Amino acid sequence: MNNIIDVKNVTKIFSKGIINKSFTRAVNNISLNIDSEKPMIRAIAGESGSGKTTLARMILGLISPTEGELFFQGQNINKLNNEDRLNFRKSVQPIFQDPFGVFNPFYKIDRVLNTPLIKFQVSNNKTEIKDRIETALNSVGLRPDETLGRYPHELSGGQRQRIMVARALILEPKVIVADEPVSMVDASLRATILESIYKFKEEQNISVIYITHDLTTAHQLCDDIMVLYAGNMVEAGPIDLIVRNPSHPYTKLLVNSIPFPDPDMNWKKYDPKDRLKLDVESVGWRNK
Amino acid sequence: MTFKFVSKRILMFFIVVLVASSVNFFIPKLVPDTDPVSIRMMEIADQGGVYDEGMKAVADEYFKMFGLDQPLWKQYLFHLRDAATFNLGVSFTYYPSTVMGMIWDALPWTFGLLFTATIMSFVIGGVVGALLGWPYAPRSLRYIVPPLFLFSAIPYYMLGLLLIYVLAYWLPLFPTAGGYQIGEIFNFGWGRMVDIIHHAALPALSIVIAEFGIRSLVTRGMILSLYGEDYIKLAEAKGLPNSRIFMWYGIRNTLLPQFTILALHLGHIASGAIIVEIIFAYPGLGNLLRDSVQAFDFPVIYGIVYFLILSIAVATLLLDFIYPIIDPRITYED
Amino acid sequence: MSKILEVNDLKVYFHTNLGPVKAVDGISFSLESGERLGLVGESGSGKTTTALALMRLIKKPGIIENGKILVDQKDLLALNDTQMREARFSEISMIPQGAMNSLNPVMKIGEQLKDTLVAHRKYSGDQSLSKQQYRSIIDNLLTSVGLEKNVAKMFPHELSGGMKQRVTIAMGISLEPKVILADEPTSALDVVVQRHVMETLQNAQEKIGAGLILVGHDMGLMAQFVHRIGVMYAGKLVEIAPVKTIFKNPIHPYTKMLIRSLPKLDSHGRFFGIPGLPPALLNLSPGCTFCERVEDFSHVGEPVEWTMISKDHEVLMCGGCEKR
Repeated sequence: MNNIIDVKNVTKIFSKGIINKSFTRAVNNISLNIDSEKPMIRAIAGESGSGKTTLARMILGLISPTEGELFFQGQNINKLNNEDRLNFRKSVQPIFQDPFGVFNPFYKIDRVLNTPLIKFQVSNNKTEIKDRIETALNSVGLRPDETLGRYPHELSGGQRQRIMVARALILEPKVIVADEPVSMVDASLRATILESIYKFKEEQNISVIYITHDLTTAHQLCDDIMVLYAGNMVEAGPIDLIVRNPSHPYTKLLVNSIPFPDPDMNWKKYDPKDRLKLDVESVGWRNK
Repeated sequence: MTFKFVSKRILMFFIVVLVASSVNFFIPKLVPDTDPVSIRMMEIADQGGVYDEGMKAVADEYFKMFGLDQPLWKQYLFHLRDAATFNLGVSFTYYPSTVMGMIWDALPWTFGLLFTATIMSFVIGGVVGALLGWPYAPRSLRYIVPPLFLFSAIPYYMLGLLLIYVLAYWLPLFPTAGGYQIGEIFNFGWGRMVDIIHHAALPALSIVIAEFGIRSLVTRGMILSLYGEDYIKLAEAKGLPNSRIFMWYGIRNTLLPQFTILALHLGHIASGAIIVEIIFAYPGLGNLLRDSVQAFDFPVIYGIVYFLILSIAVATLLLDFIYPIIDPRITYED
Repeated sequence: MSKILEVNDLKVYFHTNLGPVKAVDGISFSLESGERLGLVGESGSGKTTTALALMRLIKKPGIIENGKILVDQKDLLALNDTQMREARFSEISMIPQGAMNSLNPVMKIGEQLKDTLVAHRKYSGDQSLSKQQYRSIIDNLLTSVGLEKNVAKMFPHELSGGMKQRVTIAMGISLEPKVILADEPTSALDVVVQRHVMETLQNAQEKIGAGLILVGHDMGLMAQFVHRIGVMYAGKLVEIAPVKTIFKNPIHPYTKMLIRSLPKLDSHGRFFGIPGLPPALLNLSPGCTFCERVEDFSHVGEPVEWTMISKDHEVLMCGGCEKR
């Protein structure tokens, strides 16, 4: 069973200062793997500061771990030569959270779609590029004639995020790392974007790592989930099991905070003491 | 304030001064074929009295005295040592006045002029610029101020001459030159102070007017972009009076970039001040520098340039320390 | 419980070179004392513009064309500038979106809380208080939103997102206004902090007995928090009803789609997006913009009318909408 992505006991420590150093352990001894045979969508959930974005960055090869190793198709991500690195970058694509900040406001959005195809040497043929772009746009529910040729500020946030999704798709990657892709989009528009991401798995055999703090969209989209707290994995397993029947106190806290769109399911009253009980041993991977 | 922060900054300061001082040493040496002693000798010869045979011996003596017969690297090391101890030597032309003495005499004039002019242009330019950008400022301001920018485009020297012509000649409101009324005994009485201010008015004014244009436009730009910020919107929503929003939410947030600009600008202001002093025959470092360059009076040139570099480096260092006080987001850590 | 806020036929138009943009096109609703109303809609539906209009913070080229805004029987639109400035935060206050940028970065928190108090005391001619008196008022405000007293000495960048939002809540209640407008106060926060902040907001609001309008796009949040929901679409209020009624018996097709698009824990792999895009508010057609969006042009010209489903449930739709 080959793993396309293998994260082995990865830790990341950030240090500040030279004389009086202060350390922050953002990620602590986390392991996970993504199977190359069976595509799946995995949620990595936690609050701000839980280490999920740092973990995502390491998987994307943007920062290197302090301890532990990350492998792509058996090779260490941080020790790739140029050609393999290009292949890695092409196969593992990100979708970021902010649909405003990722665009350079001086360029039309076409550039964001053209550049990856050219840089990754997928194609040089103008017609082929155009076709790929149009297919990608259509698959996220955008009309090419309404989006191409426009500047970022002429489009809405939801449209921009969909373009980002199209951009991730255009290179036909094997894994997509989506860091809170819908948290800055209106709740009512999230469904369309999430649907496109879901289709990655269903129709294109792409695995997705979905980073979020919103358990309901995670439940809707993902197969399994890993819950992070303060850099540690505290619980993981099939999504339905974990969300309906959480075991670790932190997972319970997350589940209790979900604003269900049902006035009969009320939030439990927030008890600050809940936060004190979270230093409990990790529950690990559960199957039941 | 951590030790590391302070020590790093002070180290930078010393490095800057060292580099500048070295450049200061080498550049005049690069001028070909000029040898200060011979030039001086020639000047004296022009004034009458030529002693052919003795000339060479006199020149050689002078050479030895000023250390000009030593190899270059030795001269360099002596130079650095002297610079560190503020032993800037004696002037060639005004021998035996010490360079330090001459600078010391001229310094208060330059310092006073520069300091007041800079503060004034900072404040006036800053406030006027901010008002131009403020939506609630009186409309008339928008018509009156822009023509004043024209003056900023005029180079310092022309501006100085213009001011002399208009305000000292045509309407004899101000004296045309000098730092003080010649012929009076120097004392510290009130009348004296007024006289000094009277004489400093035009030179200061030319610096202020020249700087005003840029400063106002920059501040205006900052205020305009600031007014779109969310915290201004909340301040308005809170029902705060417009003046308070302008001062505390508007201008207060522009202070840091303004200080940065000031720090970067100091060199420019200093050079402008030199020209202004020359035009107004103001007895400051500018005048001194001009005289010594004309006379190839190397020790004085070195001394003044070294002093200018030192002052700007100190000013920048001080501003560096002031930054965190002005903008709480900047901490003393690195 | 009396009506603390009444909005009648409010219209806010932005006059651009390309024509008027009808950001808010004739909405009416009321709010009781102590009640929480949610205004929900997509970006561009006019909900934030409504909130700004209620504070009279609309700037050119936007103009409040028409309408009455009555806070405790006093018409805000009839006040002059000075009176309105006094009314802000003392009669009606606002808790802004994204507290990240809403706090002045170079002023201490305590100062920012204080200047509202000082300014309004001056307006009402009351005597200024001593430093200690202000200090104790500010301490009380901070503790009432669950913050430590030493927060007053800190600068905004030293606080976390949730803490900053709670500071803005403290500001919003500092003058004990009659109406509080909360514009997406938790959009930048994660779920756990969101719950905490919303509870703080609820406690603060109930303590002073004010009416609260929560503007947002998250129906889930609304379900947990408000008593009544008003759904906005393309500058108009298309449905308004008590929260349970909206979820059990939504009438307008847009409301139905909004509710259906939200994931509950039983929709794995099934997504119900809303097709099309929110309408551009420039040159809106006079007929039903919703039908246009779902690409049923047969009903575009039909008149759109208010229908009363029950005593507290009203819907604005055209004949075509009815059949969806």
